Amino acid sequence: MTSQGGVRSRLDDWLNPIVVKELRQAVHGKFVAAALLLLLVVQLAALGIYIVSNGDFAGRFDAGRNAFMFLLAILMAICLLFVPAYTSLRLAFERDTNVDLLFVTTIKPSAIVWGKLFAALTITVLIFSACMPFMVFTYWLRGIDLPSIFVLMAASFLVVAVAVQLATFVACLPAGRVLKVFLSLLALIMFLQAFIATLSWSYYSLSTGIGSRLGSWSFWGPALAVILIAAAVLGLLFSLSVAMIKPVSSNRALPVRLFVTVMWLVSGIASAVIAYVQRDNTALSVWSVLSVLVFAGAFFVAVSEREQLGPRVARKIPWSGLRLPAFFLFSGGASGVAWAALMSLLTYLTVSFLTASSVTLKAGGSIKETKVWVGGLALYGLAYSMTALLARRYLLARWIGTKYTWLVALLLLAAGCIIPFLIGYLVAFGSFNRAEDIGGWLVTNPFTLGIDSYQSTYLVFAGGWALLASVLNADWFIEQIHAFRPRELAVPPPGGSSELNL
Amino acid sequence: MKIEVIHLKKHFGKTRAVDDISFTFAAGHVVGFVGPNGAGKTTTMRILATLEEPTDGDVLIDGVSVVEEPERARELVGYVPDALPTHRDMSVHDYLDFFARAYAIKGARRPKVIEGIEEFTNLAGIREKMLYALSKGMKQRVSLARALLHDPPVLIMDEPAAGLDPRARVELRELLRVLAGQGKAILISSHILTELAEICNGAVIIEQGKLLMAGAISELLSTGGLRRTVMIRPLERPEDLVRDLLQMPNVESANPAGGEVVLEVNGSDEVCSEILIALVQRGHKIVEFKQQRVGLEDIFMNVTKGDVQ
Repeated sequence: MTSQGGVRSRLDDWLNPIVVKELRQAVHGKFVAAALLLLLVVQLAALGIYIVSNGDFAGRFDAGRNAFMFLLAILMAICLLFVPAYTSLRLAFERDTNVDLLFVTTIKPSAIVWGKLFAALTITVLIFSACMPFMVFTYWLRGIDLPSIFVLMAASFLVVAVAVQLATFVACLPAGRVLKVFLSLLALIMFLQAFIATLSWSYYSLSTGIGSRLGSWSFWGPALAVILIAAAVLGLLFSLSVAMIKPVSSNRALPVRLFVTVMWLVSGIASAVIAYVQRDNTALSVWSVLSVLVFAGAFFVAVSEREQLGPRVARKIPWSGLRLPAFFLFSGGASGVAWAALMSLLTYLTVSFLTASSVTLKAGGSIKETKVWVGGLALYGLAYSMTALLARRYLLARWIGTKYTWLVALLLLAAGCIIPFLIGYLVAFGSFNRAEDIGGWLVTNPFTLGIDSYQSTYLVFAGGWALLASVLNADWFIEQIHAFRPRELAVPPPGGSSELNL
Repeated sequence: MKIEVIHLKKHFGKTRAVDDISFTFAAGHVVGFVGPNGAGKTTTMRILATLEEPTDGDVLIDGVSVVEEPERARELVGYVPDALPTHRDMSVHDYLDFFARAYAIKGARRPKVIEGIEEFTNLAGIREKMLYALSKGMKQRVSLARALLHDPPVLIMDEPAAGLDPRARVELRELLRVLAGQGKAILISSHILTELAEICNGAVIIEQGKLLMAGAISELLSTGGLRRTVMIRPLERPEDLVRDLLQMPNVESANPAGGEVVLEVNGSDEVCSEILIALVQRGHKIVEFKQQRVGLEDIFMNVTKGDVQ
């Protein structure tokens, strides 16, 4: 074998099998080729019609920009509709029928999700590359420069990548068909919003001359922030997808909780540095509120996790002093609630400590307001999830399985936000002008924490409610904490086995 | 190489899908796994293939625990599920190449392995055909080829003969014989019991998650506790014969039919021979004494009740 052949062979071995399979299927199938050809025809026709209908370009300096926006809209519509749908439908189908076969091979769940994402991004690159000549052509129509074209295409690619990963996550969910259709519709609405937002932002960027700012921090600062946020969302959705596709007998929670913990730490440090440099605590406030929103969501997920560990997970629990920290990173309802509560508390303490120890970090917006939101959201998240757990365990056990406790929590939250508001509105009918007028009624609504005069009431109420619901679920916690010990695999007793004398 | 299923249990909520099953078999043997629908066959097989985790108990494959070392156990097991390959836009060769990659078969070895398996399973002629265009029998072969890619010493096959035409079944049977001859241990579930009896050395019968019977086919066929049908043709006086037969302890029924008497005997071959001796001693002139052959199907019908959980 020549050295070239050897390199090719090694490269071939290194390729993710899922990527190879997906791309081969895309090549064999007519769907991708047809979609690509259709896109090219539409782009060509759109550009032709635009040029013919706007014949006089001599006195116009926005023709290129308008034509580019027109083409970008077509490209994004195809990419935000076709690529995520193509990827998620294929994965959802294979998840139901063929994924077991992959689990008896040496391939890992993370490689499956990564392979799907990479193949989808490759198809996206193919589509973007095919459209690139038309997009670049708009440069000759004036009103747009080449760097702007490339920057906007790169930003659009990032949006498509996040959309594909979101669609992959929905496809990985072990939910029934009805719930999946509902979630797919939600994802579609999000894609529509992403489509509108991308086009609006692109038009705004072109109008304000994004190309001229490429060498300055005023471009790269926000750009880096957006890239980091997109990377965090991609990473979170990726780790969630891997967790969803992993066999039930594995420690599904570990990669997700590790990723979120690391992201929390990294983004926290970055926010603190930015707040310190800018002498404004806005970055720290945004970080802490966003973090606690994630942890409030984690409470809902945690109460839907299994309550008993299987032998494969249990045998990995360490005996030593690592058992306590390990509890927070293992699958299981109680450990999930404990992790989310710990992270919420750490977020609150971090903000309190940093702002108390540095005058620079205290400058800017109201830290008190931030702390109310951080504490309040965490307490309401805990209260709602614990109440849902209580309802599921004692009232709904016959109808609702553990894995749907989040749905009960979500319904309770919706009821807690809407019903008291309606009652308050009817009671104060005629004298109602703003939310503050019925503030007392909104005590179960976590999104009204901004009403200054009721903040203390809300916090005391949420704290008391969370404490009471947690105490009522104490047996649930104790049972799982007690069971969290390394399981010695019982060596089955000899004998009693029917030896087939063949 | 030995496969030991030890006190295996799998509960789904209150349902005991597998309830304390234990049996052992060795390399080179084909074992039939028999039971009514919902008996726990697929769950047991999925545990053997490391796809399900047992609630209790274990399976040791050549000493490797499927609970403790699922990754190592996977290398020893080839699993053919009851579902056939459904990938779209994929040729037979691409399908096998994909799984060979997934099994981490690398470099120049991969095409050799795939070629060898295609030859063995008689897929070489249709390697470029799309999967969706294949017949059930061909898809079943592709499924078997996939399971053999990493040359596992143990093969777990869930209903491989379901929906196959007679020719495809005969071809599958021949393949299994060759594989057993190569020293592979094969556990195969099927509802076509006559088929199983022809290719299996042993059988395990389960119902409602519980093991009812297990052993070599010949042993199962000859063990007691089974009802046998015997036809006796006396030279004369069949009515007297019926009367004497009904007085015997193991005879459940005796009915004259033409010049013959058909009786149901609850017992082994030995009991049947004792009945014959007793009849001769009582002076009956017996021209013909014929026991109907008991098949795996008869054993299955005798030991199972058809109950599901």
